[in-house]
Amino acid sequence: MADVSLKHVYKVYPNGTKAVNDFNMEIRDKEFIVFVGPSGCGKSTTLRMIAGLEDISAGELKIGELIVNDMEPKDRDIAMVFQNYALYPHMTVYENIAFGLRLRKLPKDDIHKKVVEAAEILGITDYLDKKPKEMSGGQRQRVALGRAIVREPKVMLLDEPLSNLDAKLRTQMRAEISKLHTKLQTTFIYVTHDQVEAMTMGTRIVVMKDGFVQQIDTPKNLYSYPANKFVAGFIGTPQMNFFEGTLLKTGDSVAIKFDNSDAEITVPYSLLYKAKPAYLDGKKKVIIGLRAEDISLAKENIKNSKAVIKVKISHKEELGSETIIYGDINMEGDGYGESPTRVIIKDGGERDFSAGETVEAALNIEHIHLFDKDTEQSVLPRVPEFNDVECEVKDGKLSFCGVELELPQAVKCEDLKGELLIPTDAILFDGKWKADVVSCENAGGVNLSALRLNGNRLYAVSTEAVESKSVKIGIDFKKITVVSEGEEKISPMPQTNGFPCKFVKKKTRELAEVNGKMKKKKIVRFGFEIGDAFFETTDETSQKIFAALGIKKSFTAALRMECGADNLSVSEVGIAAEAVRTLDYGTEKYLACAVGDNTVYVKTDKEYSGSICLLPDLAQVGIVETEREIKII
Amino acid sequence: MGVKKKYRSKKGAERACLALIYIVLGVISLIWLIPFLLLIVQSFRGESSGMSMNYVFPEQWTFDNYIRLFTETKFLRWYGNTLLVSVVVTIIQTVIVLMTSYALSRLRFKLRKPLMNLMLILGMFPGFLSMTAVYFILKEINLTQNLVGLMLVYSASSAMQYYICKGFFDTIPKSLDEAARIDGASRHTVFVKIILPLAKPIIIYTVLSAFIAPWGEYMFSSFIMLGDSDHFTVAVGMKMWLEKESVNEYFTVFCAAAVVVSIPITALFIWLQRYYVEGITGGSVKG
Amino acid sequence: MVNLEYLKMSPIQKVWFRLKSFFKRLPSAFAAFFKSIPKKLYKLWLAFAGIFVNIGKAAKDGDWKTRTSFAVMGFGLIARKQYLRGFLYLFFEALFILYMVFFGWKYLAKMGSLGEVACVEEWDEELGVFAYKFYDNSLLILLYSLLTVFIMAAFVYMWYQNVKGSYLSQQFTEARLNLPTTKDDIRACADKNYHKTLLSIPMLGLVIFTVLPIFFMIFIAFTNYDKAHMPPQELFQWVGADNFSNVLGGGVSANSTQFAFTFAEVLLWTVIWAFFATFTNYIFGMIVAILINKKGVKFKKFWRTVLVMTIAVPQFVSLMFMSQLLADQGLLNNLLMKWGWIHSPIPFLTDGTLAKVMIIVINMWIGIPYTMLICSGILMNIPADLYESARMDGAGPFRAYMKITLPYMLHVTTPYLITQFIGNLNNFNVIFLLTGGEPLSLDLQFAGKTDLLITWLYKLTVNESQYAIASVIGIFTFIVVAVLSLILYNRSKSVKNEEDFM
Repeated sequence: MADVSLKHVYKVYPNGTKAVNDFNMEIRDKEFIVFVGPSGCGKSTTLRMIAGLEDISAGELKIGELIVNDMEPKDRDIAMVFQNYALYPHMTVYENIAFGLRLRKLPKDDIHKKVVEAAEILGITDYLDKKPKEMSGGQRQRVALGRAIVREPKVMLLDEPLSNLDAKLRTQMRAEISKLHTKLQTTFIYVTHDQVEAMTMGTRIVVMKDGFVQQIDTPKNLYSYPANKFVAGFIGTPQMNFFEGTLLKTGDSVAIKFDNSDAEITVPYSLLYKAKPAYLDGKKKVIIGLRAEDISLAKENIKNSKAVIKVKISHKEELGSETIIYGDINMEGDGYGESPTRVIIKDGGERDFSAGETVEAALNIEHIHLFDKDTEQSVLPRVPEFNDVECEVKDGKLSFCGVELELPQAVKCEDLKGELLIPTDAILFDGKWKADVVSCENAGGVNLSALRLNGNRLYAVSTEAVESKSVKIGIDFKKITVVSEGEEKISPMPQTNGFPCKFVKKKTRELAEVNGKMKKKKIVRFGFEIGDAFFETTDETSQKIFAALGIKKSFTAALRMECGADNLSVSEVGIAAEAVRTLDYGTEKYLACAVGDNTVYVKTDKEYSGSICLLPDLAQVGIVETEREIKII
Repeated sequence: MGVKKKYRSKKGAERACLALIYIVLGVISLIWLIPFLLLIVQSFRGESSGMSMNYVFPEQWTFDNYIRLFTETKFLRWYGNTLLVSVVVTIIQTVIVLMTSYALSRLRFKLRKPLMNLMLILGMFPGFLSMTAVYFILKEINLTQNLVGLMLVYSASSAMQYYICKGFFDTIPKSLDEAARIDGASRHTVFVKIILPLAKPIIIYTVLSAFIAPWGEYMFSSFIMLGDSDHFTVAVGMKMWLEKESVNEYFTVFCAAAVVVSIPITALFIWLQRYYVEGITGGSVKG
Repeated sequence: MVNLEYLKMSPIQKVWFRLKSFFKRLPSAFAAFFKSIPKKLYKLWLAFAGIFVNIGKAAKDGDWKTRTSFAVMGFGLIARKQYLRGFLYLFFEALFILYMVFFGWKYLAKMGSLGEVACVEEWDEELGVFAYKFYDNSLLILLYSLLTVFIMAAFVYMWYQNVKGSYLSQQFTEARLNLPTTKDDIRACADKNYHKTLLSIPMLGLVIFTVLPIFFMIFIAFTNYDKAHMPPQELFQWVGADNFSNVLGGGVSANSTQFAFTFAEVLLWTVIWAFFATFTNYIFGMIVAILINKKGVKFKKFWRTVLVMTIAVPQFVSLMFMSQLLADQGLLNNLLMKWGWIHSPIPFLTDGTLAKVMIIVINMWIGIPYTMLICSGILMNIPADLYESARMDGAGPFRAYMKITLPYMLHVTTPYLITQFIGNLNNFNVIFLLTGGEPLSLDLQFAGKTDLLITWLYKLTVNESQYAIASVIGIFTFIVVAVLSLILYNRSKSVKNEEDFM
């Protein structure tokens, strides 16, 4: 019955390994969150940090309204179910369930009532006087659940509760836990390595690997829009097929060529609008992902499809209701081991296939997934980062997509022909060119609208949904990049400025009113020191730093203050800086100035030169501990 | 037919093997029992000539040795001393060992590893050499020739006996502690309500070994009780009987005393042997 | 990387290979050890410097409450309402000052000389006679000055903790964080600081009755404390490392070489004894356990109980009885002579070599039941499927024993084996009660032929009052035991890694 919030949570072991990296998540009340990932990915560690069984190296953990970083598990109002049940062997089931309540010194009658009630919910009333070792695995897990729910915790934590059970029991218990969640109406956090459990139970799923969160989304979105190859391969059975290949865009179509195979298909560009343009050059290697159900051997599908490749069948697995067919798109491949040419097909159509046969298979290109070969990140993201269009600069005017606009002073450049990269969030809805809205969808918290500007496709994100048929758009010059002949001619302004800083304590004697008299009083202030400048922090901020670093390390750790250009201002006092030049973006002006060896950017409305002082807006800055790169605020 | 024959011969070989085992076990049992039977027999011998006779069974059967034991000698007093020391040491040592083991097995603190290493190293020093210092420390607090002093010496270093007990605690799943802590237990509650009830075998093992030790310990008690026969333990007192000048007179009494000392401990041991084995081999607790 | 060559080798080759690689690794291991020294020293220095940095910080940045804690311990805590800890510090400081003034100082001051005057014959006014009056007792001076040093060390530590604590609570107050109250402190004793609650009493006992005496013993080794220098009548003095050179044979004293010879002789026998005592018990104990636990053997409990009785009968009883039984005029010899099997008594315990053998045999008689008991417990735990798969592979009982039982037992019982070995190195009872170290030998200084280091020590101190020499030998004994057990422990680690049954 509470929200759980994790902000920049880290688990760093003394030897330096990071088990959990910068975990950020807002879990809302009554959600069923599943942490899933292979063993050693940090999912259990995260859960145990929420439980208080593991220290939090850095970051902030809130349950309800309370910061619980340093709270003992018993004070956090949580309950946990363990993989090996962890029932107290020397106590009966009744005593096991009542243990927590007895420690909380509830009246005997209440305890009895609650225990019986919990036992009824879980159907273990008959076993109340038994010892755990007289019970089967499934019954034990029910007792463990009973012990958890009887305390009516704010948050239920379940650490792989079903992995010690056999397959049939697991399916049954899965349903029961889901039922329990509906009945109890509290927040559930569930850890598993089994993606089926995750998909069937979670309202939202956190996929983790090597201590990093890969993606947080609903089961459906994870399945449809995996953010990287790992998520794509982890979610769904049989595993997604991954091929290596290249994409080449010519005119309105894109040729997809598969490596180590003759297979090549051509698809209309409209299907790959969102793909990052850099990957469409026919050279950059991509990983092409297609789920088994998106490859079909059925006759009518092949007839209707434009994307048909040849597959050599190697073997099949008969599952009764369906047949999984294994093959290879490389005619020399064997289709058994995992390789970039192996293909798994779910839809075999009517016909029966024999091993060694070469057949045609239709690919459902609308569900294609593309990943970078090295970073494994999606290159066909749900929300694209950039719009990539051709552009021309002539006489200080930039033209693209059939529109022309004056380049402001800040981004003036010589005449050229090249590419213009407009980040999707750099398209503003208050410009002067009319664009048609093709579609608008809510994708993971933001609204993505597909626009048509003079026949060209552009994507824009906005916080509010776009409902009208057409909008007037403009672009934010600070964020655009123009590339010509491999050189960056116009660069975007950095989003954040970093100042190395220290957290310090200052003692001063000041006049203050004590009991109605003015007296000199010693006052202790905390704040950040950047160069000679000192910025006093609020109590809340200092407590966050103390909580993250401990009271002693707070004053010795090297920190970095991160501050956007909009949150900096020129002032009488503050960080000493040297004004270098003013950047005029038309509607806004920014000042580039030198602080030490770094260049920082400040929003301004006047022109400055010479020595100035910069003042950050402390409410908006971020603080990073530089040694471990841990975000504190 | 061939199969059947083979089957039969295998059974025959097995039977022969078993017979051989029985014979070996019988011989072993005899070897182990004869000295004790001898001891018992000697305790009923009427003629006093130490052990330098050349016959096994006494010419004169008598209870005199037992009567002498309780009337003429200070044996009853020594027995009481030893019993008292044993009981007190058992209590203190068990508590200390359990506390130390729990701390070293379950709690994580900075000095845990160094402490374990320290105790390992301390265990390598010949304990006897520290006796002189201990003697003077005890003397300063007036505890030499005193049972309390002996109890202190026996139980003061009990922490070093943590090894086996910690090994047992290590086999108790950690998730039990964690479950209890989430249920609202402090570390102390976990110790008392979860770990201790599960540690029955190791508690019995510790009690048993602590209880037996003072009965057989000679080195420290002879040193601390030097010359004060009122405060001897049975080991020191009975050893005195076997000195060359008194062996002839007291040998049969010694045997009677040995029987009296052995009976209760043997009974205790046979009764609790299951736990003893479980304790030392770390009978695993499953959650 | 799997060493495929290694897997192919026969057991003897394997041992040879392991030995070779051990010695090959040795130089680099030594080099690594010495290379790591500067780093470790630097780390140590950092830790050490850190203490002073912390004190400096507290002095510079501390407010008056913190600074007062430098002199009045616990003041900073009391002033910030952390009464419990504050008053404990204060109490400790008061106790320390009282101790130093009334007790500690007068001993510590004499530590350098170990006393000036031992005793003087003086005129006793009351009794009207000349009587000895005792002044300085070197032994007590040494003991109590050591104790004082210990207490001072504890005090310095507490003082540092007090400064750190006061400063921390100042920082907490300044940071406007909640300070733990006395109630929190008490609660922490059962939770967060539970290890302190649990370990303080055991550790106190350990320090007073084990650590302090060991230090005392080490210091004694550098004095001339012996029969001629017995406090309280006489003083003893610091003599540097004279005793060490005496024992090692290079000393000036007349019997120096004899001491060295005795030490070598006794040490050799001690190691041989420990080895045989441990392994004979282990192997035969295991065999008996296997016999008893064999499928088909009946009355398991009976056999076991028969053997267990020997553990239960106090060791000293059985040992002393055995010594009488086997004496030259003992029952066994008399019986054998009566039956005419022998004409003169067999010197079971009076001939050096035979006595040594007999000791090991009798030790088996005493130790086997114990090993049997432990082994039975473990044998019952060996997963049956291991044997079944071995039978499927066609292994007979002997092979099954060699390939499954023995490795499994070794794996599980290595720590036990090591503790047994170390225990046997210092096994006082068996030798002392059985032979008392006898037969005596003219070549050996105060030792008999069957004396172990520990029984020799006992004799040196109790009978001969050669305290200083005994201490030196004690230190050597420690070194021997420590080296042997370190080798064994390292070895057991590798055993564990190689044969993991879990």
